[in-house]
Amino acid sequence: MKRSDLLSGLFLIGFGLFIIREASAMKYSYVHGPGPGFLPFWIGVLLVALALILATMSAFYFYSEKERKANRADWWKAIRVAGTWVAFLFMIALADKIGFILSFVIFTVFLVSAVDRRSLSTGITVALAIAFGFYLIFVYAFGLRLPVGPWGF
Amino acid sequence: METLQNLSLGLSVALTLTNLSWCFIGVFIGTVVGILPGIGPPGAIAMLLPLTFKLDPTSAFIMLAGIYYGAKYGGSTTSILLNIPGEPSSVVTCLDGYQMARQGRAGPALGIAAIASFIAGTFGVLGLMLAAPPLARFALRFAPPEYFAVMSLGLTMVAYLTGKSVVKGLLATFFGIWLGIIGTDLFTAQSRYTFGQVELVDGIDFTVVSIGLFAVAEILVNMESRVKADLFKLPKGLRNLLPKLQDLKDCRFAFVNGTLVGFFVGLLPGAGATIASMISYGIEKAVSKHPEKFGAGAIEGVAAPEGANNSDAGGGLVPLLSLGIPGSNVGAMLLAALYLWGLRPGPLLIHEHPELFWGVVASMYVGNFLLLILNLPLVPIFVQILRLPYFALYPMVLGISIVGVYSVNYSFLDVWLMGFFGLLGYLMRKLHFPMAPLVLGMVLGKPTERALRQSLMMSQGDFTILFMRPISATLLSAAVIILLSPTVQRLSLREKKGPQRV
Repeated sequence: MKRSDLLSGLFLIGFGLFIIREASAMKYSYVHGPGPGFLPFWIGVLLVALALILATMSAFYFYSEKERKANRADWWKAIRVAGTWVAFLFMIALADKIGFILSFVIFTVFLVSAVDRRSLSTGITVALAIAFGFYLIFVYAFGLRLPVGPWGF
Repeated sequence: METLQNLSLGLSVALTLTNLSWCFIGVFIGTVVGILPGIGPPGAIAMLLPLTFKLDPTSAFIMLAGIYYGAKYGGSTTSILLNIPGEPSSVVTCLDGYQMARQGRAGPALGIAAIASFIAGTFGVLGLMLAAPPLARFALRFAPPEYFAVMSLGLTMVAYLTGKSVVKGLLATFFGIWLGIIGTDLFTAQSRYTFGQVELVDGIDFTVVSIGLFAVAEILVNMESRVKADLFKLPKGLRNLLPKLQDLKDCRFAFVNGTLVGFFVGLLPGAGATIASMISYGIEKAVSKHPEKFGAGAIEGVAAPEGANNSDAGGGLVPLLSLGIPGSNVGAMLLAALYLWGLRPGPLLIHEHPELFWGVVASMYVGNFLLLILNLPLVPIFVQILRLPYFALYPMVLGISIVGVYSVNYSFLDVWLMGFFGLLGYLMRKLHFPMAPLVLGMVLGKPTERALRQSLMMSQGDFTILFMRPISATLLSAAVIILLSPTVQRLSLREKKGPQRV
């Protein structure tokens, strides 16, 4: 059994049903043709049907030994990716409160020093250099309005 | 004669200082993006898209197209020197290019890659110039049913050809179409799937989705492991980069093979440069007098795939600029860019904006020449980019992504959504769901729905209108045949093979 496909299929069945439920609240057709609910309804139906096929076929899939080895979970990789993504979201949340530049510096220091395991001084140097470059290019040269914190940057 | 007149119009547009500069910037960024493994043209174009809003559409398109075909030149450099393809389409180049580098022939390998790219890229543009205008004129006969059929065929082909599983391709397509129709209904102004968010009334911005799926997801994939490899030293001096006369003679057929295969495969939505380079490599090996040398440093094994992946760029722009049907991730992004700049992609584009079409065509001739210079005498300088530490590159890309998305609408919801699509893109890669159908579905979602509903309004709700008109009936039949072909194949092979891939 291919568990990843089974889980994807089940998730997409649920998602397709949600689309159908929402579409059923919209008008399916008018006198002269389809309404706003027509396409979403059929998208939902097709998603459910295809996801059912995916989930069903996953049950009949047999891994080769090579695939089994290749698919073994590598938790270190997962932690690196999850850490980066969570830190990225944290930076987005922080940018709204303390400004983009400062939140970006914190994020970069974390990424370089904690995730990539470089020294703290390397992290701080890289973060300050890139943040300064961003400020120079986007704020100063392009005149973009980036989110600012209470310190005005 | 008319073509030459139009080309002179194009040259007058492309050779202005402004457009020459944008062309240079585009091919320069493209080369850098091609050289750097892990940062692809879709991610680069997605990040730069918001910055093009203030530009003239012709200049902006010249630059973005430059990134598209420029990356194909750069992709070979890492394949040859590091055995890591800078671009997916340069995978095949690793086979013989890296072997040549190991044998001390890195210079000629890079040289032949640049020359093959230049020849095939230039002939690919010639093909684009000759094929797109007549195709657009033919498509002027199209009414909504034909538009619906051609878009359905494009979506089907992309779902079928990208990735290993048609089911996953179709799931990605329908999810993309659903993303595309979020917002206000075109005919009744009813809100659909906006979840009460005013910011979603106009739909999800394409840049948000594309930057998330390509730039952010690419970084997440690259964060899994550190890229570390030893570079081969490049010989000094242009003379040592140039292939010998015998090398050029050996590659005569490879140039023709790469050009033709690349262009015609490029015409097919979804086939893409990777398939083109693999086919041309296979043909080259099959017709070679010494097939045993392939994989061990045959110079034709570098010339053919490199030619094919460059000629593919010209072929891929034919359906995009004549019909408004993109065939790849990058094509979908260029199409979205045309919409974002307020243009109407489709058969009328060439007629209504000849300066854009012919300007881009002419700029591609210029761009290919610039790339030959960038990739021959200047390649040792570009190789230094590979020494850039990745721990500095990744935060830079993520920072530019945030700035790019935020600057479109100054909305934090967009930035959050980008983060979500970044994770989605990462998961799609890990679960082997193809990305191109999703992007294409999103771009074509609304136009497809519009064409379908207009068709059904024409026929008072009668679906047979789609099958009663010869062009739409032919195109839809082709789509159905494509969809059914794996099932038919599977049934016929059922007894011979064991369980199939899903």
